[in-house]
Order: sequence, then C-alpha cells, then structure tokens
Amino acid sequence: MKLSPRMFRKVAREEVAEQEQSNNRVMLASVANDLCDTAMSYYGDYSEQDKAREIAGNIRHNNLQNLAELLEWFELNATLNGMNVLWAENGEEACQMVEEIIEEHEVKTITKGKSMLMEEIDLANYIKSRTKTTLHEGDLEGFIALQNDTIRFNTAIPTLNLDLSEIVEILNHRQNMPHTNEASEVVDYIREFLRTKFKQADMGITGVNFAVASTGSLLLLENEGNIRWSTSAPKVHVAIMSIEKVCANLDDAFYLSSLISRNCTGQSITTYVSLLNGPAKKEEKDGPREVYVIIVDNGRSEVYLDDEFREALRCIRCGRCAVKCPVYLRIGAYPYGNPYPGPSGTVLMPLLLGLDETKHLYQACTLCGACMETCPVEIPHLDFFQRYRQLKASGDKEYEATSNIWNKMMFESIAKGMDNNKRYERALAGLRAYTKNFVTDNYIEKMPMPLASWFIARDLPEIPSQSFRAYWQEEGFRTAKEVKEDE
Amino acid sequence: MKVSLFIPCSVDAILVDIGKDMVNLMTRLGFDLVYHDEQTCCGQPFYTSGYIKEAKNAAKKFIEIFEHDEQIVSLSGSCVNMVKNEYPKILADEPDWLERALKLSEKVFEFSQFMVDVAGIVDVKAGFAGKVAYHNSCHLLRALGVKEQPIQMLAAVQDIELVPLNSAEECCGFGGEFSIKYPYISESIVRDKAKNFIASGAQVLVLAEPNCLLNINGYLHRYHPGYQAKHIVSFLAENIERGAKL
Repeated sequence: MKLSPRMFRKVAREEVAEQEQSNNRVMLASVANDLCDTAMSYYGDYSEQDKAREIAGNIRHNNLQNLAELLEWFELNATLNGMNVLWAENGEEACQMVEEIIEEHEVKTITKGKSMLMEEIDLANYIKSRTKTTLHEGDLEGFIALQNDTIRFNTAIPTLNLDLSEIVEILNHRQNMPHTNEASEVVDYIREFLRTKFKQADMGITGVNFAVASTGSLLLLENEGNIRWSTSAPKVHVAIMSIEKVCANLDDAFYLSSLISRNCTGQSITTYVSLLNGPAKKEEKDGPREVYVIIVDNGRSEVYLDDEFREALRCIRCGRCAVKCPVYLRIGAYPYGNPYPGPSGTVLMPLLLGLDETKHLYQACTLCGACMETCPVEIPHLDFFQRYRQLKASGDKEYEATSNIWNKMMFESIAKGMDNNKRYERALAGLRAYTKNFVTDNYIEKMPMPLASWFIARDLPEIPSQSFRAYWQEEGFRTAKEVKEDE
Repeated sequence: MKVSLFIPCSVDAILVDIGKDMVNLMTRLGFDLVYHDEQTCCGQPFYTSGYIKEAKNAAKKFIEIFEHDEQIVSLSGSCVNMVKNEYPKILADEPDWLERALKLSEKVFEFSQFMVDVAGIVDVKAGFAGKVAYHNSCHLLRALGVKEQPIQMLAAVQDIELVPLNSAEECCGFGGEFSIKYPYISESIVRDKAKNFIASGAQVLVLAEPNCLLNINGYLHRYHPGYQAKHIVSFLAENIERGAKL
C-alpha cells in the first residue's frame, strides 16, 4: 500500500475511528512517555534535562555547521578502515548502487535492518522489482508490516497498531504459522524463521545511526539483534545513510545515542550497540569481507543552504515528539504518508517533497508545542510550521507552495474587518444577526459552511446581544480615551 | 494599581461573561481598570495561518493602542503569547517597531501570572466546597511558562479540593483553524480531555484560556451536558461572595 501525504485527511479519519474503538495507542504512548521521563531523570530534574537537551542540540548544530568537512573526514577515515564509501545524489542513484553491489557479489539473499532512509528511497521495492534477490526484513515491526502489505507504523514500539490476534492472523495467513494466544510463541516463531535467513544471507543492508568522522566508524543502535546479524554474518554489508548522520567524534556519537535510547524506548542504553570499523581483516574469521557505505543526499544539501531550514537536519530519530503529539496519538503513522511520521517528519518532509504536497502535515497541528518542549536536540518545530504556513499563504515557487485564493480572501477580509473597531462592531452585529437563525436554547448546534465542521462534535454558545465593549459603555465605565482627555 | 484590559475577540464577542467577571473581580480587589475600545484582534489567527502582512498590521495597531499603559492584562495566555513573544519575531525586520514591541512585551501579562507574580495576590478570599481539576492550556504552559500561578490561586480557595487531571498538560484539540480544518482529529482530542475530566471526579474543570473553554464546553454541552469547564476568573468571581460568607 503506497501512501501519500495528500491522502492525509481521508486516512486520518479512518485511523481516528479505529483509535476510538480501542484507545490502545494513547494508552501505550503514555506508558512509553513515562518510561522515557524516568530514563531522562538520569540527568537530574527538568532544568538539568534541559541542559542535556541544550548540549545535544549544540552538538547537532555544530555537526551541521561543519557538515561538508565532517563528511570528507569520515570518508577518509572510513576508507582507511577498508570501507567503500559511495555518494548518491538521490534515491534512484542509491538504489542503483545497491543493485550493482548485488550483481558484483552475486547476492541471492539479503537481510535488512530497519531504516527510514531505505523507506524514503523505496529501496526494498526497488530490489524486489529489479533483481532476483530475496529480501528478508529482519526488524520485527518491518517483518510483520511486510506480511501485511503495509508500512512500518512506529519509530520505536513494534506494531503499536495491531493486537496479538491480528498479528497471529497475518502470520498464519502468509507464513502458515500455527495459531497461538501467546506473544512469546509468535516471537519464537519469527526468531526461528529469521535466524535461518540471517545465516544464509550473503548480504546485509542496514541504516546508520551515526557515522563517526574522527574514527571512520559506523554506530548502530537496536534492541532485536537483526542489525548485529546483518552486519556480521553475511559476507557483504551495505550501510546506507543520509548526509546529516555524520558527527565529529565518539563523544558526540555516544552522548547523542544516550538521548536516543532514553527518548525512544526509555532505556539508558539499547540492548545492542554496534560500533563498526570496517570489514574483517585477513586473519579474522568473522565479519563481512566487504563493507559499503552509501551516503545519500536526496534533496538535503538544498535544504542545507537555508540557515534556518538547515536545523531540520538535526533530528536523531528518537521519535519522542510523536508520542507527545496529540495529533499523532489519535491518527497514528499512516496518514502522514511518509517514512517519518509525526512532528519530526513534518519538519523535514515539506522541504524534501514541497509545501503543496505536504500541506496537511504542517496544517494539521494545534501548535501546542509539546514536540518542541521534549525534543532532545532542541528542534524548534513550531518555527518551521509557522514558516511553512507563511510560504503557503503567500505562495512560493522555490518551495512549491501555491497560495489558496479562497483562504487568502477569507483572511484578508477578516483582517480588514478587524482593522478598525467601528468596522469590527458592524461585522459582529452582522454575524450576530446571521447566527440568530441557528440558535436554540442559547446554543448553536449546526451551521452551514465555512463553520459547519466545528459543529461535527461541538456546540457553540450564541453570540450575546451585548458585546464586552457594549457592556463597558452601558455600565457607564469610561474608555481609556475619555480618561486621558479628562486628565 | 492601574490595569489596562486586553480583551480577546472571543471574549468580546461570545464569552462576554468572562470579561464581566474579570471586571467585577479586579475592581473588587481594588484595581483601577482602563479599557481601550479601539482594540480589536491581536492578529494571532492571521499569524498562525501564515498571513504575515495582516498579522503585522494588527501588531502595529495593537502597539499604538497599548504602548503607553503601565500594565496590560488579558484572560488569554495564547493572546498574551502573541503580543509578548511573537510580535518581536514578526517585526524583527523593522527596527523601530521591534523596539516598541519589545518594550510592550514586558508589560503584558496573563491574568493569573499578573495576579501572583506582579500584584502578589494569591488568595482572593473565595470559597468553594467541592472538587476542582485544572487543565493546563498549551500556550499558557509552554509559551509563557505559567504553570504554578493558577494552581496557587485555586489552592488558596477555601474548602476547595484540587484533584489531579490525567494528561492535564495535553492539548485540548482546539488549535484555531485546525478545529475547523481537521474536525475529526480535533474531536478525538477533546473527547479524551472530556473523558479525563469526568474520570477525575471534579465538579468543575478550571482553565485559563477562552478558546480552550469554547472547545471543551462546546463538546461537553453536546455529549455531557451535566459537566462544565470554567475560566479561572469566572470561577473565582462566582465564588468570592460565598467565600466572604463562609
């Protein structure tokens, strides 16, 4: 199922209805949130946590300021470590590179770790349609999603949207897994299944959490072990990363890693931390014989040119903003129609896909600021959404934003009505007279467009015959102007 | 103490009673209130929908009207945030206006913030024998950092029992144009707010934001007619007489 951010409203409505049946997502997210809060208390009270966020935010800011130098430094050291570093300008190029590696090494089966970037460039589908290679999804959530022909649903908690019986149903249907009521049996089944694949695979593909410039190493975090398998058992390992994943040194990488695990799953450290320093040496028995690192741009260096938008690349993908977002919690990942659901993706995707394509992402936001408050690298989400809304309102070719003429006219006319208090009073009187037709027992329960949708779930008190300003006057209080004149 | 009233549009037009309650309460507490009847809208709806030119005009007009006042107090943390924090941002490219915006910024307060932090009044001598829960509105909490002040004022009410509200810091789902553009998502959020309120066992849900009030009460009026949210100023004003008698 291919989703697009344009379908946001429709998919969101379906997901909201489903969520209301169960309320699972909101409940589980609040559990996850509590775990993360506890894990963050390692830094001390809230002000100390704020300091940790500031430090991490500065690390990311500095990484980005020196991005080009860090990437070159990483390339140099990674090459010295024996890795093959490749540069892909866009998703298609990256996919072709993977295809060439597959051909060169006559790869028959691949296991893959979770990577949002691979979803962004649609690598799995490319491999399936263009090569004869069999691709196995090694990540639990990805594995189940693949069987269900959907996309991955959550950053951290696997299959947040499915209950056990649904998962059993899917696996029974597609894999002939025997029926069971035990979650542990499902996990055992998948483990057995995947273990054989990991052992047979001739290539592993993974993402990258951080590329460390000073040592030329790759840092990967996970809890399931599929990445450890994919990077150590097959003879070829391909790591694929976007340009912003580089950081200066191990101190930076580990500081940031600690904030990822604390804000993602509420762990002080993930179960597996892999620090990879190139292929196996000649005398070593284990490890891949070849390691490729594909560094993908896919529109990011253009984003980079704008000083403010550049900070969109800070994100370390912990997913905390999503579990804090009142919108995400009600609609889940699907409506966003991109691999980075929730506020962090809503910061990045408009810059990669254009503001028209992604308008629902930054418009379907209450501006509550919970994402910004909790972000461990201090991304100012609302400043982004605000700027997108401005570009969209005025129209902007560079960012593919087309102004909506009706919306514009409406706001311009409201602004005009508000520009002068006499005009405002007349407009209010008009609105009062008009809405009177819809009042029963001091409340309005229904009205035509453009306000109709308010009344889908809510009533509105009638507009009283006396406004505040009229009250002030009728009570005989003097206005500030009159007071001043007397003085 | 002289206080200039900054009345949000929603209060001027619809929630007029909250405005009256503010006048009654603050007059009773001895404040000298002034009101500029030239005021209309602070420009927040234009700003959040991206209409920056319109927001700038509204900001300049607001500054001209209010800049000579000593203290400006509003019933909406959201509107105060617009004036206090967003005006300097949107006027950043006009140095003269920026300076005026920054000066004004220091003189604008949300009601509970003003009462506790500036006037030093926590106890207004009200009384309420019952359970009350408090909802933290987003801009008040996160943009202005006002968290303890309303709670302190409520805690000072005689005989009151403050009960915890689940997810008290989560948005109520209003979000301005959001509530019209994405009504189903908005409904789903406000529904949980109402549920948490009812589950809290409180008789009244107190908050300090007119727009949240319209949203939450709009939902409660339709689905749970026995329940009601109240603006803190109304809650205090209504119970001040009882408090005097208690």
